[in-house]
Amino acid sequence: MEALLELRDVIKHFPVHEGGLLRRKYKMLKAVDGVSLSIDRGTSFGIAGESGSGKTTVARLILLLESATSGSILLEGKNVLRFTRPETIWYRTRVQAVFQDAASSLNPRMRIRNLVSEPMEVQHKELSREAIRAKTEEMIHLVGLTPDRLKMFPHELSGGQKQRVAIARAMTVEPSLVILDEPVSSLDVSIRAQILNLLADIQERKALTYLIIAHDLAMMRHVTTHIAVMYLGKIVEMGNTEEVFSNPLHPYTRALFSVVPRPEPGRVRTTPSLKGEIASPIDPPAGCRFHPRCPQAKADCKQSEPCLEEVSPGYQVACHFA
Amino acid sequence: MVQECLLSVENLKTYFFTRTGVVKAVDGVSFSVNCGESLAIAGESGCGKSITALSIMRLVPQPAGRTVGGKILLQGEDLLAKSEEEMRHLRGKVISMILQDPLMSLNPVYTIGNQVSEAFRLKGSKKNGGSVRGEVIEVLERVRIPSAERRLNDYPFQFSGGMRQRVVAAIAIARQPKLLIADEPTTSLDVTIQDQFLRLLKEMQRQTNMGLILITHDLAVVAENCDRIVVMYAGKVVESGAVKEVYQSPAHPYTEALMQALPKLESKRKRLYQIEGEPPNLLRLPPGCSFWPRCPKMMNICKAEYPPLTTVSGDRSAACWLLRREGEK
Repeated sequence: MEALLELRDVIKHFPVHEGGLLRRKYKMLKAVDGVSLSIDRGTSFGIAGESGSGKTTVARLILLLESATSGSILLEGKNVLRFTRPETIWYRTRVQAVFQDAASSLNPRMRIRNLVSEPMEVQHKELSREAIRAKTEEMIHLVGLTPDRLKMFPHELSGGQKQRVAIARAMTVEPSLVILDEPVSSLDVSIRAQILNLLADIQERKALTYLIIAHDLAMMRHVTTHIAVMYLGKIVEMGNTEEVFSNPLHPYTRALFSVVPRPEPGRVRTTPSLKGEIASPIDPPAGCRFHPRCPQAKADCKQSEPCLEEVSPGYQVACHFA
Repeated sequence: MVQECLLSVENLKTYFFTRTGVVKAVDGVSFSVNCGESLAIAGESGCGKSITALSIMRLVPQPAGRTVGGKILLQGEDLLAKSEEEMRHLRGKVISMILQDPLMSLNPVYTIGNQVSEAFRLKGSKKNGGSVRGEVIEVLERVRIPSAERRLNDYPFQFSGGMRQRVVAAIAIARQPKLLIADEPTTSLDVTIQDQFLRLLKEMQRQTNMGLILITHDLAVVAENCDRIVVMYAGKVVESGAVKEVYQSPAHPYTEALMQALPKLESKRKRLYQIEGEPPNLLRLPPGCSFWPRCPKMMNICKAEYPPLTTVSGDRSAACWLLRREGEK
């Protein structure tokens, strides 16, 4: 299959300072530390991980909301980071995003009609007013809302409806890749399934590619075709969702799966709790970054850092013992 | 084992009187908690689960909110009849609460040691004025804060989210309450930290035999941590019973739909079961059963009258006309 978006050894370090005015020292917060991945056209690629793993920074780098320290981001083979301004503007019609909290991504003083049509007014200045009007109505219909919502303000809508508007807004410029950053975690349980099914329907109708960022692993299994698990700025395991879930190889992935609560009363947990917390990305542990929490860590893990290696076609793990 | 009844809530009604009308946030809710037992109150946002908890604590936002009816019996004494002064003695000592966001429960400008010791320095506690340093360290160690003694002078921002929630738990259990109410205690935490925190909560419960009310929207968390469950919808209890039985064969269509809509870690990629519509606006509740506009098994009677709570078996009950008709046959 053809790769739509590719990340090659992308690094993002944020400078942080500590100490007072006179003894100020700069250190690097390594939010994303060498991430390479490839997203095929028409797939749903998931990035999972705890908070602080760098998954959202990856999304922000792809959206050009942060500039990468080094590495390259390729859309259909073209390096996005070398784009000229007009090319960047074009790129923004190809890649769109839906964020976690719809309420804060919609301007409270704009009507739904203007919120949905705004991206077209910016990106397609050549479109006539009638064309924009028609497209807005088509989009609102696509996300399952009635046209009478168009004259309302965001506060008049429920959480689920607001997320539908945010989805419509992302789809108006007909992107090829949509980044969904925790698309349902702020919604109620009974609404989550509606939004996830809606996203699946739109993907099918518009032949879209999704990059889904979420911490909810049960949801990830339902909505993704490929998954990458991140820990402290690095991918530790990546492959076909089915394979990763049926037989996770990295101890961190295994630990994550074992702590996900399941709706089965009386389930006896065989594995102990994962000890400790995710380390600081300012001074990540030497060697394998997971070794202080790893139940299988050996002396080797403290010194040499494992690379992401292919264990079977399309399946990569970064562990000395996988 | 004979379990002693700790808390019994009978027909609790907490209404909010707003300019646009009366919001019946909690409308005739009844349940009970035994010593050493974990009860889950589950439901979506706006179903009244948090207001139920605040009503027990007698902390419903005034003056709009008022508990207009019912009884809250804690070891036989009605909390609704207590004066504000008497309630202040009970809070923290007999009933305690943990809230969702630990950052909001901790004061950012006081040290952790200072905030935890407050629980011991309150009026009516053993120590009055004297040093409580030892107790503070002990309770922080009980919630497994590493090197507790050194961290007494740290401020909340120097703690991670999971550690902050442990500090909040330490304050809540400092005076060994008989009942602990945890309102979405792990919603803001990562799964690995959630797992650690829930295990800690269970261990504390085993040690002191306290009753626990866990308020959550996460049915998977309920399954692994609670003995009994109360499912709420639009201010009313729609189903209650032992977790095992309710999960095996949910009696109310809403409970059943919630279970089906849950993504499961084991099943393959597929379309999720979806519940149509949205939770109703409490100001404009539909007549009859509040769930009928979304219910796949809706009948004519559902639109006309609210179904009474019907006993399914033992202490399991549900409010649905389906059960009534089957019973009559």
